[in-house]
Amino acid sequence: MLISLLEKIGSYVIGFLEFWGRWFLLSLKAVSLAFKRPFRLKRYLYYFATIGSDSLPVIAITSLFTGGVIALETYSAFHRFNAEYMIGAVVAISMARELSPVLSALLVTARSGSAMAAEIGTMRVTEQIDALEMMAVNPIKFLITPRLYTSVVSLVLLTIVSDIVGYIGGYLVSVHLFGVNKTLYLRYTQNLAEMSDVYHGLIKAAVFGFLIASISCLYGYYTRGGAKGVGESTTKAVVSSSIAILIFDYLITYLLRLFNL
Amino acid sequence: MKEKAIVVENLKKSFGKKEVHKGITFTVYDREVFVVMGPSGTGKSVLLKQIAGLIKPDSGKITVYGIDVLNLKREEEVERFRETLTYVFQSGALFDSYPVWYNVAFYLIEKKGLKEKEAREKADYYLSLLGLSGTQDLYPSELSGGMRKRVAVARALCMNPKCILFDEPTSGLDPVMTAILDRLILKLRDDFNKTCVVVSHDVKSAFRIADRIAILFDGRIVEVGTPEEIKRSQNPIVKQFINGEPEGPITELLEQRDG
Ligand SMILES: Nc1ncnc2c1ncn2[C@@H]1O[C@H](COP(=O)(O)OP(=O)(O)OP(=O)(O)O)[C@@H](O)[C@H]1O
Ligand SMILES: [Mg+2]
Repeated sequence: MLISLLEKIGSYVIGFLEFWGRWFLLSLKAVSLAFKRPFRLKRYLYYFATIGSDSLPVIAITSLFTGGVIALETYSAFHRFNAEYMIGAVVAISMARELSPVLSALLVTARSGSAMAAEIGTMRVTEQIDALEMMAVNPIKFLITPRLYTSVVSLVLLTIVSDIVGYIGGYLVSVHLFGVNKTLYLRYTQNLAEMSDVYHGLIKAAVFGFLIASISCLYGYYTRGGAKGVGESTTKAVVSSSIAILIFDYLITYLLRLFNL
Repeated sequence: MKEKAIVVENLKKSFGKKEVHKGITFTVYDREVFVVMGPSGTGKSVLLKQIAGLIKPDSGKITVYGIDVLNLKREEEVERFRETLTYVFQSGALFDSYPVWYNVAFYLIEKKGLKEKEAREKADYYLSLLGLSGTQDLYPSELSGGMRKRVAVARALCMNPKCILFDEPTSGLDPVMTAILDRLILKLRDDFNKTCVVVSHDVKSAFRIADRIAILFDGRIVEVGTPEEIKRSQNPIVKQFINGEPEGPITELLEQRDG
């Protein structure tokens, strides 16, 4: 009984360590290979377009409604203290520090993370990755490096967009639906929200972008066994990336608070 | 004595409990067409992939023109090996996100840094050799199985290595196309001084092109020799295989496994 329990825990721990060990090695290689010739800048542009601009409309719509719903939810509470004009700051701070990076990251995971795992996984099971190796083209550099870097940059930019659109959503609900005073609303946002709130969120976004691309590519790269294997990799990539995003969200917040960010 | 191109010594490979190779030894000489035959599932593809350095054997030694394939350390060594030998995948393994011409020109563009226009001209030439003119701008998913296979051959030719491993290049091709490909392989040997290792199920085509034939069965090479020698062989396995008989030692082994 006890032994089998220990065995289970042991194998789980080993699996966990193996995963993060592989993840670390693959990420390290993918990051450092970017500085080796040939650079293939076109591939970066291509992935920037697919990861960045494909997610843009979805993230804009989601953020607009998220900003709006924060205003909607907080209005009655602030109304009791006649402090409706503070809603702007609440929307701005909660979007910038928390919701924009996390929402954008989850949406990019669903859209691009799954695509990365599926695409690289398919290339693995149809021997296209072996074919790359056959032509002395490093598959990690060719397939993973550009995705990793562009995912980081895209997620930072998407988070900025999400911040702005979310704030607009809050503004529309507060000012146009509830008739909060426009000047006070903007003034209090200025007084209470700081640029450091935005930076806090952008640091998170960069880390999330890295996690999404590295985890999804990892699952794709180690895919085994046909169409079923590709399906499994894709599911695991999305689930693991999402969990990692939420756990790292807490860890980063905790760390950044130590530095008063 | 001709120069040795590929030397495989006592190669062993298992997948889990399944022993695929139980000690394989053979030599392929320079400018030779060496055909490997054997029943399906005896590990012909695995053998070629090990020579190409895509699968690591459990033990043994592989040398390709003096390069120790299993101990490629520095990057220059790897690149030199890739320029010496290439492998045409049984499945083709074409890049399905690129059009046909880019598949063929891939090595020239991505590795050799050739301009796209120049690389495309070369790709067009190799495609025309394989009767594929006019397919340049199609995507692999728009091709038939046999066409995909020929694109894969064109891609290998475009790399222009000394030695090419063909994994069943003619299966799925019509008799005319098979004959054309056979002629191409002979032309590679005679006019371009290449060394070719061909895995084939097609006994007729094998006898047509081979300088020597090896028969692989149950993890071992049971016979190596010129087509004449193979035809005259008294080995029951070889006889059953080349005559395509349903009764014999090959079937017995299969039945033993099932039972
Ligand atoms: N990656 C792998 N993992 C586990 N087993 C494998 C793997 N690749 C091949 N095998 C096993 O090795 C054996 C030989 O496979 P291989 O593909 O080399 O056969 P083959 O001789 O090329 O057959 P065919 O003529 O049908 O192409 C098969 O029984 C297969 O099950
Ligand atoms: Mg095979």
